Amino acid sequence: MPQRLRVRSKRPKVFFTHNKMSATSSPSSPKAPSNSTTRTPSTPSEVFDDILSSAQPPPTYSQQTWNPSNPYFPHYHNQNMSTTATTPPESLIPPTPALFTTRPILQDTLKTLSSKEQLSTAEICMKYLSNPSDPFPILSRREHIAFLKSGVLGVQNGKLREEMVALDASRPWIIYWCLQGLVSLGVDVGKYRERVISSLQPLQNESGGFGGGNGQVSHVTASYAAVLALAVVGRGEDGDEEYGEALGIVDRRAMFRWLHEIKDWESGGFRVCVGGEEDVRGVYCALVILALLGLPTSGNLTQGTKEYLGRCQTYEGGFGATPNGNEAHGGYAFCTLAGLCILGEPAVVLRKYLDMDRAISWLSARQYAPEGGFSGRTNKLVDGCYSTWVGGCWALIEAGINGPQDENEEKLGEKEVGGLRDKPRKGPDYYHSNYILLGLASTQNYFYYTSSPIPLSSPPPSPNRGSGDPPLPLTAPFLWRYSPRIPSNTPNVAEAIVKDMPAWPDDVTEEDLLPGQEVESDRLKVHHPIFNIPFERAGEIEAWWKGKVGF
Amino acid sequence: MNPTPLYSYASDPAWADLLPLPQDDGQYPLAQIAYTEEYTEAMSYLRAIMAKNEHSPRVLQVTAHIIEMNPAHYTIWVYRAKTLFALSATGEVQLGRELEFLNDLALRHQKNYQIWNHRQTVVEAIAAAAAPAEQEQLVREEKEFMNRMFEQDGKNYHVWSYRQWLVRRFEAWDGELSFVSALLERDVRNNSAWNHRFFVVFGGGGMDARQQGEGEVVEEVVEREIAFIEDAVFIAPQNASAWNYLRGVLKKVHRPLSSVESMCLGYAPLDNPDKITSSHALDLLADIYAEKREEHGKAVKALELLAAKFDPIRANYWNYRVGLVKASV
Repeated sequence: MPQRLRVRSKRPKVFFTHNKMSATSSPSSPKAPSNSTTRTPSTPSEVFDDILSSAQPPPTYSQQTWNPSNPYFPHYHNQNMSTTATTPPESLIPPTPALFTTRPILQDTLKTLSSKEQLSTAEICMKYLSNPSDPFPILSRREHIAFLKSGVLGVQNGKLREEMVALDASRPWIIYWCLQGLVSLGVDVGKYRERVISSLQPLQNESGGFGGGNGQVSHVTASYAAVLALAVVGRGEDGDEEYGEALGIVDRRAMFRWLHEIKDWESGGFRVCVGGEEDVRGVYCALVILALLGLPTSGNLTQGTKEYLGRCQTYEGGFGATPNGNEAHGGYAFCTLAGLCILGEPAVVLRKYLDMDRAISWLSARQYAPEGGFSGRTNKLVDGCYSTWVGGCWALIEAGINGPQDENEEKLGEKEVGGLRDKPRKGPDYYHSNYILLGLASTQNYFYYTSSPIPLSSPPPSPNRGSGDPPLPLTAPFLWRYSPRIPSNTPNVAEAIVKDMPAWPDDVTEEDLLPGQEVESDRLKVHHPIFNIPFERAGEIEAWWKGKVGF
Repeated sequence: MNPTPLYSYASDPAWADLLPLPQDDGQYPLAQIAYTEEYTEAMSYLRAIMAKNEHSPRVLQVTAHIIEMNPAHYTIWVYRAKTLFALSATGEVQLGRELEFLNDLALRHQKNYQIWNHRQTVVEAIAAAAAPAEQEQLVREEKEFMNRMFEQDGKNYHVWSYRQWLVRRFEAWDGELSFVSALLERDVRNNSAWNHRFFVVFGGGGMDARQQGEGEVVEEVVEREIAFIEDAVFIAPQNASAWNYLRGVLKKVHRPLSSVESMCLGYAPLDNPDKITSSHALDLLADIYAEKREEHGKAVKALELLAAKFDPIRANYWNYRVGLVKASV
């Protein structure tokens, strides 16, 4: 067996995603007393109240959150911090940092369409971010749960409104967005398992893959979303012999055959469907399907693919849809980086196929002030969904720089309705809701690549592979770990402000939530940085396909 | 409510031979859409016709009808394309008419992958049967239509991707440079236009030397591009598109970053920070000074100015760069 190539950096480890408010020491302080009158502080002002009102040493979390030397908090230098007062004087309520309430220091005088649109977006965001009554909105968990439940269960007579016909060729996507969004919010989606299976089964084609609806030809993004939705709902109850892992309904052999049909053997890429366009979405979706289903890497299905992905990097440092000269774009950046990280160890593949320095520069330039959010392209506007597409790249970049880490190195230190949206003045939708939640969850966790598999709570079934079996599948994406970090209270969260709209039927109950999940908290359930499904599902799914013989 | 009766396949004798096929949504489906009766009926007739693998003129009727209601229905597009090519082979259909159908749709649905993939397939088929002069006419008309699209949105990703395919496929480079220059004249921050400029100037080649278009770039071209960038930066020093393009050009032609040091200093005089008008110039200077050990102090100063004052939202990144400079000693 070939020796795993270990890349270790001599430089100190790099953590882009650790914002400046988080600290370097371990957040291992004793838990604050929990009774009916106290709860985990969730907004900066609440954290601040807690510091001021607590006679005991405050949780380390709070101290870390308020670092007066933090340039994010320029107003903060002059505040006279008292730790003995029982009620905070009004003037000590921390204001939103000036970075997020004032225009950038450098602004050109020349006005063009781009600069006008940029300025008006910045003004709108500043208005929200400067709102003195609510500069740091808490996540409206109940409302978002109601919104996402309406996506799977329908809004009237169990159906989605007729305008949603625009997504009639993307039904697996709606199911995935809503279920993963619900999981992020702490909802137990196991109860939808049978309905997910019965909804997706009619979309699977005998010739392999899933269509966007019944009778539609197989499409790689529909197949990807279907596989993710099945992965999210997971295994049945004990004694459910029929399917076990919900992914068991996928005809893996037919899927494997169909992936060969959409592969472009000349370019190394994948088309989205037979007769459809070819781009890096096709590649990423195909690779996720291969990895999650544990399909073999024989047959050269991934031949030329790393090179294809590498050629998508443009002169800007970002990544275009294809290697044919398209503009660098955040969505395609995630597809490229995650695609490479499925095909190998991040520190090896990313460094080999990409100009990392230019990629890092371009990715970091996606965050704007005062808005706080990410844009998808140079001189375009911020959009909440890039919290995942751009924000999700950082864990992969960090692993590419830092190399594999040992496990023990991990200790590092609108309220009426639900739904999340592109930006203020846009309406909420299921797509943005899921990807903004995933983006927020990325800021709450530190992801890293290691060299050993994810430990399972229960031992995997013993491998029972025949000697004639094809080579083992893509293992790199299963070697990731995470470490929970303190909630990030940066005003990025402000993008999650919800818009005034008529209320949805509020049928969310505490029973929807997983045990231990508090409604009044911004903490989200952790996801896998490459698959965007609940983190622990990756290891369970790997154990599932490892236990299979052949197909 | 609506007194005009809707068209119905069921009452049209031309469809009487087909038994409409219902959709199987499975038991208790999730994310089920409340279709209109019109959509449900059209889809059930389409399924029936697809089950027969029929490629007749009435396929064009039902697919156009469904596309009107849901232009993202890729299965319909793929089936329509197959039908078009079958009918065009027997002379029953003029492919040129399809482009008119697409023009109208594209103008109304700006964010759609299928319309442009379909257009590419159709144009490829028209070109295959066209004389050189007809091909030139076709390309000219395609470019004219794209200009109408760009009037609505100069950054439409699908249209730009299509344009790059068209230009490369038909070697239609003529006029492209003046076309992007005009777009940049209108909005010098249109990054899609800058990206197309790179595509055009370097003959469709990306950063990868293995791609086509690599070869000696003549000196005049490089000088012309740098002069173009200088003008663009002069009117908007904080325009990231122009600076990214500058880095791209220098790297592509293997010129050192230090060749633009004096230009950068004009926008970011390190010894007089109050006069700094471009964070991108500071960024470039930091890279220029990081290359020489004796100038590391200046590199760190530029990066610290970026972190603390001129681009603090990226403070983590600038501090990372400071770390790289210090570690390289």
